[in-house]
Amino acid sequence: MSIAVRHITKTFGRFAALRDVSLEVAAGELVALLGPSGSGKTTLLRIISGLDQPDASPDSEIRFHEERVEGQAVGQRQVGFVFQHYALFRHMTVFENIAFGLRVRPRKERPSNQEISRRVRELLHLIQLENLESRYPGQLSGGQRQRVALARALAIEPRVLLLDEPFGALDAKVRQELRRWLRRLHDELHVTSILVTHDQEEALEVADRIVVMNEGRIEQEGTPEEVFHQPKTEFVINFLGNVNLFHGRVEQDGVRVGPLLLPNNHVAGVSGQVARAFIRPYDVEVHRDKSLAALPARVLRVQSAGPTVRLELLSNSGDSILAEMSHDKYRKLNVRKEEEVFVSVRDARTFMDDYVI
Amino acid sequence: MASLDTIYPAVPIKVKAATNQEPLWVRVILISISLTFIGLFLFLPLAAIMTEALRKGIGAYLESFQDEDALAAIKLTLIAAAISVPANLVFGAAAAWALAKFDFRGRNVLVTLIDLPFAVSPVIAGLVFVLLFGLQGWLGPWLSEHDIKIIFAVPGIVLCTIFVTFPFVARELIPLMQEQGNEEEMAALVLGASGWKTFWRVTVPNVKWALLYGVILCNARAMGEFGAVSVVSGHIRGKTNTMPLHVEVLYNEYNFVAAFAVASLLAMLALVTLALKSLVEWRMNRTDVETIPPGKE
Repeated sequence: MSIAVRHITKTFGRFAALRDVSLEVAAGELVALLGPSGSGKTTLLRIISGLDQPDASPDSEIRFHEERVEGQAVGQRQVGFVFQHYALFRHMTVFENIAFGLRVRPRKERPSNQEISRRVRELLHLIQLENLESRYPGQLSGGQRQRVALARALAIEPRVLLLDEPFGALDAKVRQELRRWLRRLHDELHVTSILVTHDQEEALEVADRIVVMNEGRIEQEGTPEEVFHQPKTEFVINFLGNVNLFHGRVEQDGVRVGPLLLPNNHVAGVSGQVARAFIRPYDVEVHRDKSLAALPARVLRVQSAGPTVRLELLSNSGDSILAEMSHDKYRKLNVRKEEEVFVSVRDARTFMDDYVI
Repeated sequence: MASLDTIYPAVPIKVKAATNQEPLWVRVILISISLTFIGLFLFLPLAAIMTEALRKGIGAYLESFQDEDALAAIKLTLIAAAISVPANLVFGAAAAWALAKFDFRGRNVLVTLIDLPFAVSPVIAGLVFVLLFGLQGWLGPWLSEHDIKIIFAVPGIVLCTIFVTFPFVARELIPLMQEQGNEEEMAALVLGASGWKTFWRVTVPNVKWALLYGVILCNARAMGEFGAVSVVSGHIRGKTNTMPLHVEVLYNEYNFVAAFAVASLLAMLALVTLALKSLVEWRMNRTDVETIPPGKE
């Protein structure tokens, strides 16, 4: 079931949580709303679910597969909602939690007890907690609770599944396991899903498409590859992982930062204009041999515990630079703290203010 | 969560060890002081009530309850409690719900107002009702025109009792409901439950023990209230005397056996209340223990 959100604005007092946001989610897609806290991502999710209402506006609309749902109360929209802190019913067993959405249906639409039982058992099998059906939420681990919350949301056969920071309250390791599991589950069920997260790694790993939000607006939409490799704004490149920022000036064939000439990916730009260059740590090349087109720097810190080795450098002009390389390369380079090295740049994204005449 | 546990595991153990290290004589003195205190101020009066009530034998004791006025007093007390407890149950639940689940202007004022009956002397509370509804009071002339009697009648007693027992249920519920938040209710609504079903299936079961606890305390106070009721009742025997007032009347008439017999009923009510209260507290704690903090593996 596709979701279409058009021209949604939401203000809380004087704070604008969403500013004219429009978003399309194709049927069966898993989209991540990614952004820092206060970016409006959770507000957007709650508006789609019906838990919050957007500001009244003639052109705002929310559609589930072409059907307009703005007028529908939260319970009528048939959405599955998974809360960050699970929100399981603490006085009910796992079984009753999952059965709740079926049991509260009006008598005419309510399935029989056997049917409810069958459905709950199916879901328990799906979340691999068959043997815990008579436990109370308080007796489960965080990961188990969130799986129960997911099963409870799926029990009503939701038209769309909305997940609000579902792994935010879990330990790092459980979080990783659970998000891989969620991805596999989505591939199996193909229910249209929107996942809210502030964790870029989670969004990149799980989602088909990422919507990066900032200050109530959508900054960029695209596949994980697109937003990561072709960030359209400075906010996006900053938010998706570590990045070095250099200030330079536009020249004929690139952006000049000290001795470095960086490729200019901006078509516009007038010679002499100020530009900001963003460089991912893995695009920073560190050498020992002096060359004219390289920036001299000093090694401040080496952090080699992890899949890659990270060097913190300080350039002679006083900028701190983060470089990342493989362990293999680090061994060949063989540098220590306080040693002098030379830095060149493999790739950069450059941004400049629009030139106004 | 787990990391917190590993950082601070020793703290409670240390505290416990420290209390056990108090020298024996300190512990003996502390324990005997509290036991003496409890004996003098709680056990002795209870024993005195029972001895005085039974001074002339069990026959005289039972006979005290044959008296029509005594029966009327018991009946009136039960009526006052039967009206004020449900009224405050509904009010307390509504107020706690409003305070815990919504954020609105004047919220803090309402919190303070709920506590007002605790802060005001019951006698003053009674006087306020006399000022409002008495013959010379603000609404007095209108009431007497329409032949409605509130002061020196049952309605006044019920009003006073409601006022005095007003905070008990709300006070028990507010902190619990605030702690629980409203995520579970939201989850129920998203799953398609109506507001009514959400209230009965999610909200009420989550607070049922606190609710019961509040009701027990509310009931005990409603039956035992003296000051406020004394001001508005007018002490008409057989008509507007509640049990505590009737005890006073009998005592002033030197009818000690009857006075203490009625008093013993109130004392027994207190004991039953205590027992119920402990039972409910035990149940509440047990549901707490079952809960592992979220996020823990």
